[in-house]
Amino acid sequence: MFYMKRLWILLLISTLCSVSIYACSLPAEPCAAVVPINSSGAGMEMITEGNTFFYLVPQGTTASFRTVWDPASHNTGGGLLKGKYDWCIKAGIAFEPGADMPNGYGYFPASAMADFFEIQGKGNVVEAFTRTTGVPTEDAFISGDLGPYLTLSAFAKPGQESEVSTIGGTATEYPDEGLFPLAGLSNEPVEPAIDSVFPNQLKSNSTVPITFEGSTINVYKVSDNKAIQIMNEGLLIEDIQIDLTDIEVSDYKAFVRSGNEAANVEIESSPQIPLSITGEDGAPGPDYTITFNIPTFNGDKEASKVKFKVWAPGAGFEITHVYWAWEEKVFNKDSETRVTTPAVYDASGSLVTPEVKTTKEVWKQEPGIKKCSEQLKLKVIKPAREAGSTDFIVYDTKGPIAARFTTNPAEQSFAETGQTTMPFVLEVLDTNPYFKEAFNTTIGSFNFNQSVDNLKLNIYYTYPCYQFSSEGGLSMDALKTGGYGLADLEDLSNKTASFKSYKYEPKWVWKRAKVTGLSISASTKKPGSTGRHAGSLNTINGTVTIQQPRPWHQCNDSTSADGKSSPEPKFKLFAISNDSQGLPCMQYASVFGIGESLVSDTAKPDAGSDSEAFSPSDGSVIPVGELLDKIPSPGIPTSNWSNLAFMKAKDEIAPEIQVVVFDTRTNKYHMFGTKENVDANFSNFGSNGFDDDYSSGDLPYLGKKDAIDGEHKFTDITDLNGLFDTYLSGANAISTVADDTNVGYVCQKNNRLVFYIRAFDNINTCDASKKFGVSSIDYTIQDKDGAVSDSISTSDMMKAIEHVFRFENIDAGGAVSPEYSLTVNASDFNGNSREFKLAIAVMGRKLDIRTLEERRKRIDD
Amino acid sequence: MIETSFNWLQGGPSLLPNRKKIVGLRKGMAIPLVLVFCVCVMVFASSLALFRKESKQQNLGNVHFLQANFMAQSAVQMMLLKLSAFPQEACDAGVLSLGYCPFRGIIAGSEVSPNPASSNSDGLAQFFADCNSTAFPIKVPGLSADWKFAVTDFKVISAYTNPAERQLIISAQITSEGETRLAKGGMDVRKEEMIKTVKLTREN
Repeated sequence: MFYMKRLWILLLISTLCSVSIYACSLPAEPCAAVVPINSSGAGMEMITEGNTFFYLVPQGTTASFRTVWDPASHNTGGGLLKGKYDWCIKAGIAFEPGADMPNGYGYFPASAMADFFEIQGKGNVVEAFTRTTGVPTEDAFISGDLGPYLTLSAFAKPGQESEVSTIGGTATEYPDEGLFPLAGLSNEPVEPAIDSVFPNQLKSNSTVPITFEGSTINVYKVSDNKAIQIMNEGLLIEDIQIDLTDIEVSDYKAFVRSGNEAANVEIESSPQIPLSITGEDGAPGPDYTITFNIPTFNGDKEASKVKFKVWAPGAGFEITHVYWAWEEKVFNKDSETRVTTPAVYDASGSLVTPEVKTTKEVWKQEPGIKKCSEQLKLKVIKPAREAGSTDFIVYDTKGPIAARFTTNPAEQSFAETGQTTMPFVLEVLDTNPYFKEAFNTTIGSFNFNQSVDNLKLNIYYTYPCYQFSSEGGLSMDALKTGGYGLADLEDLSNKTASFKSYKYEPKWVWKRAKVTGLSISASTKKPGSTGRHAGSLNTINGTVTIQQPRPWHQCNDSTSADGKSSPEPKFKLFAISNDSQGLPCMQYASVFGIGESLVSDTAKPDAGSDSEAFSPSDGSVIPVGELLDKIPSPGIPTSNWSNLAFMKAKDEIAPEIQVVVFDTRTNKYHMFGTKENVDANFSNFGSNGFDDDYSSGDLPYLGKKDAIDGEHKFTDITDLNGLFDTYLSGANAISTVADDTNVGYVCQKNNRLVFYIRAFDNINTCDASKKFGVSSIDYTIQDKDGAVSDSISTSDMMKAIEHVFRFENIDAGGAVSPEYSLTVNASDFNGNSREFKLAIAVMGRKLDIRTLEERRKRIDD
Repeated sequence: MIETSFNWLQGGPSLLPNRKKIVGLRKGMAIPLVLVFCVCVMVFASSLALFRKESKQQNLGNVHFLQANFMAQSAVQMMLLKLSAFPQEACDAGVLSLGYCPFRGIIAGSEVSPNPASSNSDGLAQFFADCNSTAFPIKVPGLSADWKFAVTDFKVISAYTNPAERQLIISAQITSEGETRLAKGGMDVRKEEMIKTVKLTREN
């Protein structure tokens, strides 16, 4: 019998459902969308693809949005609902002003939708309910043998939802208050779970005895001593009341549909539109102001779409005067005692075996059966049809915000020669969460090209060049005190101590370094105020090549104060970069515009900032990019575009030494020195002026440290006779600077020579207060019988050092023995020392004294 | 003369034929003759002694001269030695004394005007200052300390360089004194001055 009832109920439900499927539904379900108003005016470009569409939105766009009625259901992935749309058109509903018409289907005001339901449903609700649900509305009792869930589910056809609430009150026919502890419900979905809430036979899960003999029944124990037997439960319809649900425009809630990558991107709006799956927690509209500050495009079009949707409240019916009714038999726990073994007496009447009594638990029913009920409110809702979404792809229009620039090591030293290459890292903060992605695709008229090649990362550094000024007519004293670079005789044919030299003035230049091997090795998405992606911090790795070698005259890496150039130089580096879409950082164009190099006072060590990257053009700090405030925790300093990095320059170049040999017999000043240094090559004794680029051509000092050392050895006296003739009877003096030779000196014995020694360092060359960069000068004159050694104070350079070699050291065969020489050692304040050696060959084999006249007289008279 | 006188005392054959006639006359004449003879002999002897004495004195004088002269020559030789050893310094001192800069050579053929105001003989004085027996004492045994020599003056008449000939040429005048003391013959002290002009050519 029980199974027959269930079969009947199932048949009823299936019949109702099938009827409801074919029944006419409401003219339109709630179907809303949130769309931009005047999208083109806001800079959006609508792209239509088949039945779908989306907007391309430039970053930073702010637009007004509104919740609208979308009967055509755009962007559902399927076809547009033309019937629904046409119904609205026929109804004469006006379009939403300012809204687009994707695929030719427009939007209608949401208020029209709400009004539509209200007006169309009035006066005919019960009929509509019957028509749409197939459920009879006359007073009736529907057996609930299958349980409350299945029974109540009969009110909702597929695609609809139903909710149940207990609102108190009993039906006329079931007036009793039951003992069943019915929990209150409030808009609970009609789901299997409600079977545990409402009384039904399935709740009779305890077995209790009801007779002494052991008969039992299944009951629901209300307490230890009281139980009820639930019977004949079901849904009682008693003067049913049906109302339409109220729909307010503000009930529609906009939300960003989660589930794709772009949903994780922060979108600013007022009110804030949340990220949601269902949208029930969306932001009530209907008006929104939405700002698209963060790009969403990551190379995958679908994944890049931010999908704005609207959660619409379900439209349906509220049914009251329906009751869950049941009958209760109430049982109370009791006991019953019976004699189970009678007493046995013998013939004499004596008790042989006493009687035995047994007491058992017996539940006894109270008189009568209670007819109980609980009034319900049922909501049968046709949920809003998911209207698809309004999609937006936000593309990047803003450059990087800020960066942190580091080299490895932090303060790399210039390579002694050639180029200096070092790894660097530029951490770039950008509003694009997908900075690292690489793609090249075209959507609509817009080409999305994002790659590391677009970075156009440039590194600039300060580097000293030198303005040379020629100096002529310099005397010995001038060379001693004036602070000059390499000197040479002004005129080799003029037997005067007149020299030419030069001075230099550092001119600081911005130069562009060579950057290679760029890669974006890491990218960390940065959350915005909502926790969604508001940007990214990206690690760009590369190699920077400083194309100039260690500055010749500049040193800032010394343990000695005097060993550093004065003023102390600073070698600054900073980087500018586009983002991966080629959008530049602030002042990129201005900085890039300086080209390969720019001579500027802003490159001077004391100019500009010591910590912040600044424009080479005017020294102004490069500001941070836009939208920094969107990233609360950027992870790098953001007071400006970027920091500066620095380089170090050591001084490993020893002083240069020059010796002027004055032959008092021929009155010639012979100059010994080398022009194998930087200045001599570049300045040409000042006449070349200024050259701001050491990178082109043959670097004058590239790898010449040893060569310069070698060029300080003037020991070539191979052509002894030729040299002797040249020194003694030649018309001109010798200058190894001019000749670029390494010849030694050849003279006669007993010829008084005067040596003038000067030394100057590459550091502080012209600074007398820094002793021209020279810490000590020692010299040794090696003669036949020993050596003469002494030191020269750096303040007393060019003093005359006389010496006469009285014995020849050249034999008849031209062999030199012993070796005569002048050796000079000079050191700078950085421990670099250089030896100058001048080999001296002394000739002389004939001395004739002839008496010309002789007179005498006695003088003691 | 002595031989002649001898021959006369012996008488020669050419004088004997007039012997008897003259005998008578001889008686009063002998003594005078002897006396004359004696006187003559005495005169002769005296002259001879006197001549000898004079000759001896003269020899002492010559020796004394030579001694002083040689002492002066010593100073000159010392100076020449120094010149040969230090021709450049001599040149320097000389040109300085002439008003030229000692640090610049005077090239043959060049026209360099001296500056008399800058002339300074100190170099020369220094150059020869040690050319004397005081600086270099005479170390001849038994020689009196009175024996001296010294260069008293040194002048560089010209000093120049001829680079073409690769020569340094110095013309110099050395003045020296030699002094000796000779006790014999009352010679006492004798000083001799020697002035010697030399030309030093330093060439290769």
